[in-house]
Amino acid sequence: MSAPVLPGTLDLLILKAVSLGPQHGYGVLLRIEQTSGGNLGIEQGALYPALFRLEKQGLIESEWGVSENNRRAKFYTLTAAGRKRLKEEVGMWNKLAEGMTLALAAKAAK
Amino acid sequence: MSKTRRQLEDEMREEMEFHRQARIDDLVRTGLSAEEAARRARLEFGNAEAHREECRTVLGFRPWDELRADLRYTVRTLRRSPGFAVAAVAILALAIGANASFFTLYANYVLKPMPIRGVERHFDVTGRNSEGRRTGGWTPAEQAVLQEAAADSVEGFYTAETLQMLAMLVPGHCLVTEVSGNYFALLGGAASRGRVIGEADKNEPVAVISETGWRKLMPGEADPLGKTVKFKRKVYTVIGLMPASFTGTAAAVTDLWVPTTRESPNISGLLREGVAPARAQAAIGAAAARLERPSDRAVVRVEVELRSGFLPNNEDVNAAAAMVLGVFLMVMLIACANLANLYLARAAARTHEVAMRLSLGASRARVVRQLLTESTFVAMLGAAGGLGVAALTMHYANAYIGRFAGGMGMSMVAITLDWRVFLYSAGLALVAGVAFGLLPSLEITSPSLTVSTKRENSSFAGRVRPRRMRDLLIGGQVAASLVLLILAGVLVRNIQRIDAVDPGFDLERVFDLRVEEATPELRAVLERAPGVASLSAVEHVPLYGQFKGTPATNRVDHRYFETLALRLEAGRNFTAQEAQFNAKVAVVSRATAMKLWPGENAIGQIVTVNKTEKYQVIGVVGDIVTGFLFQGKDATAVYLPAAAGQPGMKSFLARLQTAPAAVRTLCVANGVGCEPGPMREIARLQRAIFQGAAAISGSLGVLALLLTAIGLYSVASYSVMQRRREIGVHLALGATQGQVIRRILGEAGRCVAGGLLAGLPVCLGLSKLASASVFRIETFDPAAYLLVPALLTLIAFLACAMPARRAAHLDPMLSLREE
Repeated sequence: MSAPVLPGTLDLLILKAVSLGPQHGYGVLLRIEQTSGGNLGIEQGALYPALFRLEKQGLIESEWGVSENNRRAKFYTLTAAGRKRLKEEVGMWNKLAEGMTLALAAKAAK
Repeated sequence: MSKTRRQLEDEMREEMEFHRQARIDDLVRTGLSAEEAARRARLEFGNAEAHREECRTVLGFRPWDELRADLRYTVRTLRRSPGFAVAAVAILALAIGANASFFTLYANYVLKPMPIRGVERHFDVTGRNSEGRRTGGWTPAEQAVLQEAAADSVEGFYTAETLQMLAMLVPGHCLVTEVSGNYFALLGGAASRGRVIGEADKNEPVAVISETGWRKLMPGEADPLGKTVKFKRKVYTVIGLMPASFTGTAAAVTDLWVPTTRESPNISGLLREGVAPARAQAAIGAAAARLERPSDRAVVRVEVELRSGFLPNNEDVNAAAAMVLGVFLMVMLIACANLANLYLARAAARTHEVAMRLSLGASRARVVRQLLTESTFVAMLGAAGGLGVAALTMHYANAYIGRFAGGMGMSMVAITLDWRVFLYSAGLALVAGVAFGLLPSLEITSPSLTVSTKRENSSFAGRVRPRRMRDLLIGGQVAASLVLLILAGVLVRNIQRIDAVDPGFDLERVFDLRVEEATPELRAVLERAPGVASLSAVEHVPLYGQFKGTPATNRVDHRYFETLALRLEAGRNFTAQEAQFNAKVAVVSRATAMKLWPGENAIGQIVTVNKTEKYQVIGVVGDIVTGFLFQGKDATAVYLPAAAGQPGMKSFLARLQTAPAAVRTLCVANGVGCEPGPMREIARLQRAIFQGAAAISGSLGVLALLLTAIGLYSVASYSVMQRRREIGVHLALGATQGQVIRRILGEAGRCVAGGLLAGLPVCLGLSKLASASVFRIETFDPAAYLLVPALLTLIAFLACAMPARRAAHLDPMLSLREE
């Protein structure tokens, strides 16, 4: 059973996936699954509202192209703004994760 | 990024389809059958339509989609109950139409810019003396001083004085505007034929004619240029014709423009571009304060006020407009209350439908939005109808104003509906739609009501709150109708009072000759003319305004009393000699004699007028009305002898036995313009103000009454229909038909009584306010205060009688079995 995605983290995952190179929606999904070791369960359809939202915010942009198996597909690339946002979010996430890890590792004082 | 909605939809589908296909391919590659792979892919993707809906939200399509769905739903709902739809739209069309009509007048006279160049920079100058009174009158020399001092901030000053004058050749008055030399150049008026008046024409007898003037002064003339017009013994040659599009700077369309030769009470001008009025005011004020003038006319302060419409857009005008607007909005309020009522009644019938939607997962906000869409849609249809009503009203208003102004020798700029009126009507409809839709929608979707999915409850529970609100709304409507109808009643009574007033002289036979010049020669000719029973030269003509002074005086010649048929009650009249030489004798009115020398013989007494002049009283005559008829007979009147040709003796009064046209012809033959008008006509003009106000408030009152009756009827009908089970139980338990009727009527009666009780204090308060205003009218009229509530009660009774009867004739078995 894979852990459900924390609210707000899907956007970060998508940005990260797209930052590795232009990719279509399905490719983004596969990349997230691969890189996270299949630990994150995403309802696949939920990816699209998130992609639309990020595009609307100008963090990614899209273009129609041809997929590896010669089908028409929409490819997403990271914009400069997206790159900047990704950096910030990763920084924030690391801080949060660090803090959480420390807090959860604390043992009762003897 | 100008993709159409359809393109975006298609791309969205294609993108998701690609995803599905790619997933199926991958799953088949892992060894699943094609069918199993498709199933898995679908499951993993989740609810595709929900995801697409979310994408649409992101793209910003959701609100539009919902609006479209709501509108479709609205049209379907309204089609199902056409009676309701027609009633609602008709009610709104009448109310919005009335409001749009009034707003049209306001927009045309205040908001609409005049057809001149640089209208947004146009301003008026008012000078004030140390007591804050208008100083009036600026000579051309003074205007030049102001122009020079304010040259930095003011592009130019102009003057335009519109006067009523008599033309020699045609019957009737015409309007002549005396303008400064720069008038046309400054305001961008170009002649369509010939040329306009320029600075060089200052003392030339030239005139520019308007299209209306051309038709009026020289009908049938192919070319007005070079033709002459005679005024005040001066012959003007027409040098230019203005196009119909240039109507000048007043709402009354002038017939002729001529160069001014005198000082002008008002000056206006154009600011330079980008200059604030305050800067011009400072510059003009400083220069005006240096003008050499007698102390009472010395300017200590000037006001510069921007004006782009015919009437200034200032506090005075807007306060007056707001007062009238209040009355119109009251009708709008009644209409809204009415529709809220209809909607509440309908809402009660729709609780089931709404409860169903709520329980299917629609949010309360969403359902309220749908209901508001419905009410706003109806309101917009009402606004469309209202514009039709307004267009029709303005058609008649133009004709009425035309007739009224035509009687005074004027033609007015036509009133038109424009985008401002459209905007106003749409705005009003939007506000109204939300106003009458909101309460019912909140009520119907309130959580306590959602229980009513179980229909069982709908006939006993759940209706309590809407009903109380309906009662309040009906009460409010009754109160508002009461106020409007009493207002109309009071005004009608005042008209009757005006008609009943005895002016003290014969209105039918006495004519104001309105001669161009009241010369002794003309007087001699007219006096001998057949059909002229009596003729008198006077300073002031009665009914144009009360005589001035304490005691009030009027200078008249020796045949005045004979002309007006005023009976000499004591003493004697002036002789022609005394009139000619302004003898120090006076004839006083009976009221004056009683006031100054009560219980004494007035003859031989000395009366002091204007503080210093002393006259010996030689006669006493009856009292007459000289101001507004409703003001009644004058408290004081002292007649001093004077004769035609003396300063100030401007008018002739005559008692005629022939048609007035004969007198006119005689005057013109003697080279003097003349336009005899019966005194009755002046009395009629006085009446017109009241007549107009009474007509407006009366029709608004009737409209309000009609709306209230419809409201009462529909509410009573709905309440009977809705409570047929309850009534059925009552009847089944042995209630008589009379008891049922009494109960229904009693409930309606309570709202009506409440409304009447709420409305009467408002009426009394308003009448207190009105009686304090400038118009000295009778504001308390017992008949109106008794008749209007009685009428309202009767109408309310009639409106509820039918539903009540229907309730009493319900078959208890049928209504109980219904569920």
